[in-house]
Amino acid sequence: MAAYQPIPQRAYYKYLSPSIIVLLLLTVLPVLFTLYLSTSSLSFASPRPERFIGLRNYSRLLDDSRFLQSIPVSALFIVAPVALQLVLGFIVAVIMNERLPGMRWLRYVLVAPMVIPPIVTGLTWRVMFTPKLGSVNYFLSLIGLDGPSWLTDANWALTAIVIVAVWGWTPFVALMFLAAMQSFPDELYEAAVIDGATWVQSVRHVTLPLLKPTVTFIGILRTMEALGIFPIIYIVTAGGPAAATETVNFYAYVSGFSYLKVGYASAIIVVFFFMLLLIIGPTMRFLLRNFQVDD
Amino acid sequence: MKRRSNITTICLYAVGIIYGLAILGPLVWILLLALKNALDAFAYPPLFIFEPTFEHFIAIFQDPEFRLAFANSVVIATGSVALAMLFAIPATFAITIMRGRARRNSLLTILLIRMVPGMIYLLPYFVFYSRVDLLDTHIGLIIIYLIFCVPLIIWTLTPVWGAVPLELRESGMIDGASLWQILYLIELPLVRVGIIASGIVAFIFAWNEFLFALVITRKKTVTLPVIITRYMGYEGYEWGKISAAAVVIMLPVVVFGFLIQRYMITGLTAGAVKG
Repeated sequence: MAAYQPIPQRAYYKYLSPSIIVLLLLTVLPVLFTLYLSTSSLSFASPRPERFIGLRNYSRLLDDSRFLQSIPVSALFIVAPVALQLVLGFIVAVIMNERLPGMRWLRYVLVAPMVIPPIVTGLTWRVMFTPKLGSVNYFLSLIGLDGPSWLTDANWALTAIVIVAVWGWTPFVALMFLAAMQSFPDELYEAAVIDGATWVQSVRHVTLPLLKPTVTFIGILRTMEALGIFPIIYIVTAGGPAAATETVNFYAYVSGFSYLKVGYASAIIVVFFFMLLLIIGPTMRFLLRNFQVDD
Repeated sequence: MKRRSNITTICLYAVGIIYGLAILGPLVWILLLALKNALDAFAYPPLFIFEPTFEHFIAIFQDPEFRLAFANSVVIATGSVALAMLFAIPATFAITIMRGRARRNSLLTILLIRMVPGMIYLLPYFVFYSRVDLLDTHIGLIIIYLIFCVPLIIWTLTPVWGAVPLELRESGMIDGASLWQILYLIELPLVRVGIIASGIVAFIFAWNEFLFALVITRKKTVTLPVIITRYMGYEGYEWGKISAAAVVIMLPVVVFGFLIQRYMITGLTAGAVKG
């Protein structure tokens, strides 16, 4: 029998490197290209050849009130939906974790918003918010409320987008939380019962602390995805009314593809990229500290 | 195990049921709307019982643009999965042997790449593609989708493949097989369930993707999520067609989603986060 000879890790490099190389090429080169474009005057609307204009696109951004307005909108569409998703997701996960008789269907229902195209989520809610055709205001009227004109009033349009984002992504959060809860040891709950804890206390003092790292991890994932919110805005409000629901990346899209100002839009993307780095920096520090892969 | 008062139990049921209905409601609504004629669609108060019509489904499938978009979506999603598999399968094979820091850093890098919003890459690809004539091509979109499909497959496949004992590789080597042979002849058949599940996860992504499809495709390669927005044209919204198209687009992914529910969750929980 041949001597036990473990295969060296080096032998596997050629299996992993094609993926890493392709992914880096496909992502790093575009980012560098964007940096280059952001210093050019390139515009598809103008026949003049592109030329180097330094940081002029960036300085113009500082005077662009529509751009400045998009920053707080981006912030709102991160903070409000993600916070609501985490809270609601926790409640739903606790309910599912109780394995109440007759509630199994909830697990299956939750899959739908996770897999349907965001564009369909947007269209569905666009219909729901449309007077007569939709039913949001009809159901509000059943409980005696007078529904607002959702998509034409700036504040209600912002609310509408938050509602759609909460509807669309809470199921993902809930199922991730549930998966984590199911791995919590029963002994801790039994000990809590022996100590005389009520059900609510055991959720508060056993489940919640154990779930904390998962909450942070999922919160980070959701935050990064929330920064990129696009199809829902595109369909439900198209950024309106009067750019009230326009995020930074949505404005970049409008500048680049409606106004065809490629150089200017690239500058917005670079700013957007730095906003992303602000989130990624702490994220990586957290993950490197707390992330453990099971070997 | 846990003591729960009756009031608590009733509250849990109430919140669970209300939440479930809030998730289902809009989807049922769009399904009903797809089956209503124009008169019933705008009836107030809304009709829950009416004579269903399939006119909108017939109308969209008689529309050559919609049929083309359907074919394009199938080609692009399938092509994306196939090409991504070529990269992701060997990569996962390698990751399963890695331990500690190397494994963690590889998985985190790959996760991070997937999480970056597509908008970051949209403009440079558009400008580059317009210069090398890749706009409105299937392969152009498939290449971009690699950025998202390869990480999705690796993340979903790693926990499944991790369950295959590493001793198989050692004994395969002793029997004189090369690493490639071990990968394709011995281990690939063992993880085929994981391949299918991760392939479906990537398929769902490519099928649903809107941003790149909106910008990179024109007439020839337009996909379903893009064509549906064209029904929101200038001559008034065609809600019947829009809701029928929405039902057609989401039906396959919802079915797929039920099939692989378990794997969608384990993919992300595979790397445990410690307290």
